Amino acid sequence: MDILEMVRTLTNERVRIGSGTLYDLLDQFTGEGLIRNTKVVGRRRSYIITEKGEQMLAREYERLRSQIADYEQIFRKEAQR
Amino acid sequence: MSETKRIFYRPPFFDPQEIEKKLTQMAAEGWMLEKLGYYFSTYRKIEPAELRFCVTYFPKASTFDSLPTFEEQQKIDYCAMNGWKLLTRLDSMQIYCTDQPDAVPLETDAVVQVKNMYRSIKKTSISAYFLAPITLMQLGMQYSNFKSDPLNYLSDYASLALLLMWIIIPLILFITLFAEHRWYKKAVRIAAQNGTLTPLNEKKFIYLLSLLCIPLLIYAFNSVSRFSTILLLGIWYPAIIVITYNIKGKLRDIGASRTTNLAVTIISTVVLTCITIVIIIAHVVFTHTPSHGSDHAVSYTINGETYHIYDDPQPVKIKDILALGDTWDYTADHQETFLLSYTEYYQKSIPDSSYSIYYSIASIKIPALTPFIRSKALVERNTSFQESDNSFLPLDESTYGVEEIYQQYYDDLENQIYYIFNGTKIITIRFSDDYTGEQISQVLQALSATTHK
Repeated sequence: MDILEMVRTLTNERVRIGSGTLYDLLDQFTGEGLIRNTKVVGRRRSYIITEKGEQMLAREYERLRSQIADYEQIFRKEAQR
Repeated sequence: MSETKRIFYRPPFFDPQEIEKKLTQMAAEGWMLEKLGYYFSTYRKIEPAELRFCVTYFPKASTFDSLPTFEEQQKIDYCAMNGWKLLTRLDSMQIYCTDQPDAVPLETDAVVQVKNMYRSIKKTSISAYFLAPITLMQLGMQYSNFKSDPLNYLSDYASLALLLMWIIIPLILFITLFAEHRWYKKAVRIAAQNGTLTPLNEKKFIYLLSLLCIPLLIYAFNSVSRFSTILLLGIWYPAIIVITYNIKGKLRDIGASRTTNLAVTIISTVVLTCITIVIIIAHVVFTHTPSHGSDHAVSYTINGETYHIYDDPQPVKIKDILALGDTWDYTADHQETFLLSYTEYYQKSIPDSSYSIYYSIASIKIPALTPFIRSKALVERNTSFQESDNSFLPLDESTYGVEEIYQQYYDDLENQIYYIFNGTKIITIRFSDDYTGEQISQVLQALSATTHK
């Protein structure tokens, strides 16, 4: 599935990535070993997330979760006062 | 009315928004960009239109590429899928255009954009990293020249021009590299906080400083030889520009590979530079004439040998002091800057060159510099590696009526070289082996007397 389309679909059109940004991100992620190229057909490339990429994604997920938890804890307490 | 026009425009390479604004305005006036150069852009006549432009960067692109590489083409295709069409490329810069008002912008993350721009900037800065040590080496060579002959160096505008140039060039390089690094740190921070792009603006004073190097270079070369200046700046430099811009461009247009284009450009530049250097050396060798204060020489033939005898003015003549023979050759060379006036004198008897003497008289024009120049004139000679075994023994200054007077020794053996310091005057004297101690003393006294004038 096309990444640009997938992002739009998954986020209900909330997130729209520019083609330039997407290309630079893919290049950066490949360079850092977070994703790897699996197939090249014509000029279309397929990527798969690597183990390192999955670990980083998990860490990012945890970071966001803890931020949300902090938010809820602070604002719930304030709402209870 | 012409369908195309070429206008002078220096695009601010790392200010994409400014370039986009300019292109939008031109499109609204009915001119569509066709080709962008460093100084000139070509536009094609269109119906005035509200178009959107996007300037982005592909750091892996090379100025020697005739066509986009596979990877670059992939990016171009990605952009095309979102309705953005590539208009033109200039090195790592790509310019896209769309007529769709709702097309997603190509750059939607300022942090990624800044990082990508910085990769392009670093690529353009590679030459600065190579040049920096070379320019520092040149600066070191200037210091070494100053150390080995400070009086000659400070009294020669060509040397001072080169010194200034070799101070300016590394300064430009370091300020540029520092400014780029600082911009990156700041731009990433602002992009993360506000989601906006901070452009990397060209520093105007850096541009002006680099322009200042041109007259300095002309002056320095001109003092060596006018022929070299004309050859270097009138033929070599324009030819290099033709090679690097036109030949490179033509090779790109005919589809030559990056490697071929790079090789042809480098080889042409090196060959042209070598030919120019050979011509300059040949010119210097074949047209060299000894430099004297006066161009008028009288020719004498003694015992079948022809001598060219000069009669340049001398403050002290050995012939008069020591009542020696009749025929003498007097030469003098004078040079002067705002720091120092410096004249070198040479006298020798004809035909046997006996009683030859060399002396130089330096007059410091800025009295505050006297202690510094004095110390360099004596101490630096002492510590330069060629004369590392030199030492200087003070003589009785009251005998000569000066502030300081020294004789130079080499490996504890006395040399007939003397230094006189008085007020803002510095005199260096070198005697041939013909002189007796008494005669040397007489000459030193006569020369010391000139420092009181």
